[in-house]
Amino acid sequence: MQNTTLVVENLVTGFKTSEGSFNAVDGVDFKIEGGKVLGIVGESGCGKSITSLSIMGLVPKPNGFISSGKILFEGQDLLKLSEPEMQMIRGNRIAMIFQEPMTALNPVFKIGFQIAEILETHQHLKRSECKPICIELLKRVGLPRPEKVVDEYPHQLSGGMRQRVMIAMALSCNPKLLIADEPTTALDVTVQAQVLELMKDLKSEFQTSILFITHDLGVIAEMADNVLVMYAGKVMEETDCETLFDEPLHPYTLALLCSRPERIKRGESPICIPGMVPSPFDMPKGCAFAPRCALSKDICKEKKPELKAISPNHKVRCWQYYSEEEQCQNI
Amino acid sequence: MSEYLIRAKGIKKHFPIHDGIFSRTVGHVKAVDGVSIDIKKGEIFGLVGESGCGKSTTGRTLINLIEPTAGSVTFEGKVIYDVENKIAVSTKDMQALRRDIQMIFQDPYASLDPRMTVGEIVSEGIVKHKMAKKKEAIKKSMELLELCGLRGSNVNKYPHEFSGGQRQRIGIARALALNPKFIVADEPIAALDVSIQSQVLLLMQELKKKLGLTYLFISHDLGIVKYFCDRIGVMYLGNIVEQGTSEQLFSNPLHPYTKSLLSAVPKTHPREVRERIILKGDVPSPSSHFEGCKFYSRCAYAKEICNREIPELKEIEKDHLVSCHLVGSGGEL
Amino acid sequence: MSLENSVKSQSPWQIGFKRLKKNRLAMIGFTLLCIVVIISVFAPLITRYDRDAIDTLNSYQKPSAEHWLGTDELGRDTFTRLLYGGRISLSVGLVSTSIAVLIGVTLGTTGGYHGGYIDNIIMRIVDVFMCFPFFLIAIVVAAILGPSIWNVMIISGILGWTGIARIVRAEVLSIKEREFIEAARALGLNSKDIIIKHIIPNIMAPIIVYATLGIARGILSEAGLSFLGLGVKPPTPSWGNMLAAAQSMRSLRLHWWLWIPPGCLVFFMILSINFLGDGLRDALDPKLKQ
Repeated sequence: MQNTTLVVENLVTGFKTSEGSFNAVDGVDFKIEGGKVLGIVGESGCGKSITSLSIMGLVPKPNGFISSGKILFEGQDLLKLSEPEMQMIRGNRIAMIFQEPMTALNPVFKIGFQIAEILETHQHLKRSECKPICIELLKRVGLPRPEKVVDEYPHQLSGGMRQRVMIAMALSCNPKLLIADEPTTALDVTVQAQVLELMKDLKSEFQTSILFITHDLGVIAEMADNVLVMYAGKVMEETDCETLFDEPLHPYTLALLCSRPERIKRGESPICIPGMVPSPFDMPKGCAFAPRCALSKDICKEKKPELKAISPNHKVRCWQYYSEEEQCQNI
Repeated sequence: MSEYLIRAKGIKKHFPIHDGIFSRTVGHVKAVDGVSIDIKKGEIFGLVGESGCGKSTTGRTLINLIEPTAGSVTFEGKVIYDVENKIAVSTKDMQALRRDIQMIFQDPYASLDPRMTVGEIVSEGIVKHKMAKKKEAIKKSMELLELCGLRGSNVNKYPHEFSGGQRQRIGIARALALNPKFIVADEPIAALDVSIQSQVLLLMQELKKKLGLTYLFISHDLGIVKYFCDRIGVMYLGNIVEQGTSEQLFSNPLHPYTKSLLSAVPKTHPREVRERIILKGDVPSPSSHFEGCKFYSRCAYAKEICNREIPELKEIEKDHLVSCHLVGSGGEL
Repeated sequence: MSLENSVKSQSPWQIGFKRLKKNRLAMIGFTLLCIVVIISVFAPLITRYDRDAIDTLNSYQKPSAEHWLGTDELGRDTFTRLLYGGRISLSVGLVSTSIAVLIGVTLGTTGGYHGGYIDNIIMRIVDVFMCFPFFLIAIVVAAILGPSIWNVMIISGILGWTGIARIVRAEVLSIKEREFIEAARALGLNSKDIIIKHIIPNIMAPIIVYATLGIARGILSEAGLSFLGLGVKPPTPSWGNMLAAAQSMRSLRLHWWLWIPPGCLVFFMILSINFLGDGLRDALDPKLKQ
C-alpha cells in the first residue's frame, strides 16, 4: 500500500445540460502504483478525459460535478481539498499534458517565462534563478539548442517540440503523478515515437507514475503496464497490458483489437463493430455495449453486469463470464 | 496507355510568401515539388507522409482544385492541364470533368454545409449537372444514402443531427452522386473513432467493387495504408521518396525515411521487440533551398554526395521506385 | 436509434429562433416593435383624425379624451401624427438599411471571395467612406438637394454600408476556407453558385443581426436630420420633425405633449431593436451550436 500513488474509488462525474443530466464517468475504480503506467483506452465520449479532469479537479463548472467517489492521492482525498489546496498540488505533485500543445501554451509569453512561472509558484524560486533550471529542463526533454528555445515563443516551435516543452513544464516540479491525455494524438508517427521514448526514459529515471489516456491500442502496447478499457463511462475490462493483448475477454476489447489495421490481412474485409456509441441521454437498459455486441443475449439487454474478477489481475464486465446460476439469480 | 486512368507528371505547387507593406513575394513554400503519379484503373493508390509533406496539396493539385505551378495531368488520355505547354481545359470542360473526379474530405464536420439538408447536399451535384430534376435527384440521393448504409428517410435532416461516422457516409454519398470514376480520399477516416474507422473503410471497399472506382487514398496512418492500398507513394517535403506495391514497401523498404517511418509505428503487441530508428531533429521548412537530398539533414546514412546532388526517383525492381543515392548504386545502407 | 426518429428534424434556423424565444429581453423588444409597426400601418383605423387636418381653433390643446396626446400649433392631433410619423421613421430605417445591406453584402462577398486586388480596391473604398463624417455630408447633401425623405434614406444608406461590408468580408474569408466550399468546387459548381448557395446562407446570421441594428441607426439619423430641419419636410410628420417642436423654448416649457411622446417612442424603439439585435446575435451565433 505504501507505494500506491493514486487510488480512485467509485468515481461518478455527471454533467447537466439543457437536455437533461447524465453521468460521463459512472463508477470507475482503479489504482496506480508508483512508477507504473496505467493506460485508459476508449473511444471519444467514453469518459476517459473526464476521469482525468476529475482527478485534477478541473471538471468544467458549473455544468459538471463529481457526485460521489474518492480520489486518494498518496493517501489524501483530493475531493475534500479546497481550491487553494488543490492549486498547490496541481502542476506540482500532479502534472498534466494535453493533446494539443499549441492551445495549452500561452502564445504571447516566451517558453522560458511559462516554465519559470510554475517554478516560482511551486518551488518559490526567484526569477533570476529560474533560467538555468529552465534550460536544464529543456535539455532533459531532448530539445535541441535549449538556450535559444527559452527565449522563443510557442509559435516558433514545431508540434513535437511544443509537446516536449509541455513535458518539460509538467516535469519541472518532479511530480509524483503525470496525467497524459492523448499526448501524441496530434503528432506524426516519427515524432510520436520520439515523445513516447522520452516519456519512458523519464518514468524510469524519476519513478513518476503515469496515467496515460489514449484511443490508440498501439500506444498502449508501447507504454502501459496496466490497462483499463472504458466504454460509455464504465470500465469494461481491467488487466495488465500483456494479458489484454494475449487474452482479451470483453467482446468490446476483442473487437477493438481486431479492427486494428495491422491485424487485417490484405484483401480481407476489416472486422467492424456495427452501430455507434450510445447517446448519453439514451443509454441501453442493460449492458451499454449490448446493442453493438455480436454475442449479446437476453440478459445483456435487460440488466447491467458488474465488473467481475476472473483472475487476481483480470476483471471484466460481461455476462458471458457469469455462470448460468449467477445469471439466473440476477434476473 | 489506356491502362492508366490518371497520369501526373512533375506536378508542382508553390505558394508565394508575402512580406512587408507592399506584400512583396519573398519566397515560396514548395508544398508539392515535382510529383509524378500514374494510377491504374481500379486500383487504390496510397499517399502517405507526415503532416506538412504536401500529400493533401498533391491530391488537390492533381484534380485541379488548386491551380498548379508546374507539371501536367491527363485523365483518360485527356489533358487536364499542362503548364509547360500552356494547355488547360476550359472552365466549362473542367466542370464537366468534375463528374468523373470526386473527392472525400477529412473533416466530416467542416465538409457538409450546415444550412442544407442532407438531401440537398447529396443531390447538389446531380442538379447542377442537370442529370435529373430536383425531385428525382432527391429520390436518387435517398438511394445513395442507402448504398452508404444510412436510411433514405434521412434526406430531410440536417448535418448537425448526425455523428462523425454518419457524416462521413453522407460525404461519400455526395461524392458518388455523379457516378465518378476516380475519387480522391483525403484522410477520410483520420477524424473518426477507431471502431467507426473500419466501418467506413469497409464501405469504401465495397463501393469500389460495386461501382468499379479508382481511389487516391491520402493518409498518415501506415497501418491502414498497408492494408487498404495496392500501391503506395511515401512523401517527404513535397516529393515522393519511395513508391511501390504495398508488399514491396512494407517487407522491403529501401529509402531511409521509409525505414524510420515504418519503425516508428507503435507495436502491435507489448512483447514485440522493434528496432527503432529515431529520426534526429525536425522536418526542415518547405520554403528553404536544398542543394541535394531533402532528407540529408536527418538521414543517418547521409554521404557527401547527398548534400550535393538531388537524387532521382529510380526503378529498383518492377514498380518499386526509390529516390536515394545510396540505394541500388552498390552503396551500403 | 429510436431517439433519431422521435426528434423532428430542425434546421439551424429553427434552432436559432427557438433559442431566441427563450431570451426574455429580446422577446420584449420584439413585441414592442410589432405593436409599433402594427399601429403605424393601421393608423387610419385607429385614429379618427386626419394626419394634416388643421383646426386652428383647437391649437395647443392639452391631452384630453378628445385628443389623447393633445394638439400642436395648428390644432393637428399629436397622437395621429405620431402614428403616421412612425410609418415614415420605420420606412426610413428599413429602406436605408436595405440599401446599406445590399451594397455592403455585394461588395463584402466579392472582396472576401475573390481576394487579391479586387479585395484591396474594395477595402480601400471602405476606408475612404469611413472617413466621411456622417452628419456633415448629410447636411451638405440635404442643403444641395433640399430636405426630403428620399434624400435621408439614400444618404444614410450610402454612408452606412461600410460596417456591414467589413463584417461580411471577414465572415466570407473564414467560410471560404471550410471544406464544404471545396467540396462544392469539386462537384463542379462555379463561383456564382457557391456564393449564392453556400456562402450567403452561412453569413445570413451576422447580416440579420447587423441589419436589425442598422434599422435602429436609420431611425436615429432620420430623427437627427429631421430635428435639424434637413430631413423629412413638414407637413409630413416624422418622429424627428415632431421633436423639432422642442426647439422652441415656449413649447419646451409649456407643451410637453408635443415632444415627450415622439422622444419616448424613438428611445423605446431603438432600445427594443437593440435588445432584439443582441438576442439574435446570441441565438444565431454558430459558435454556440453543439
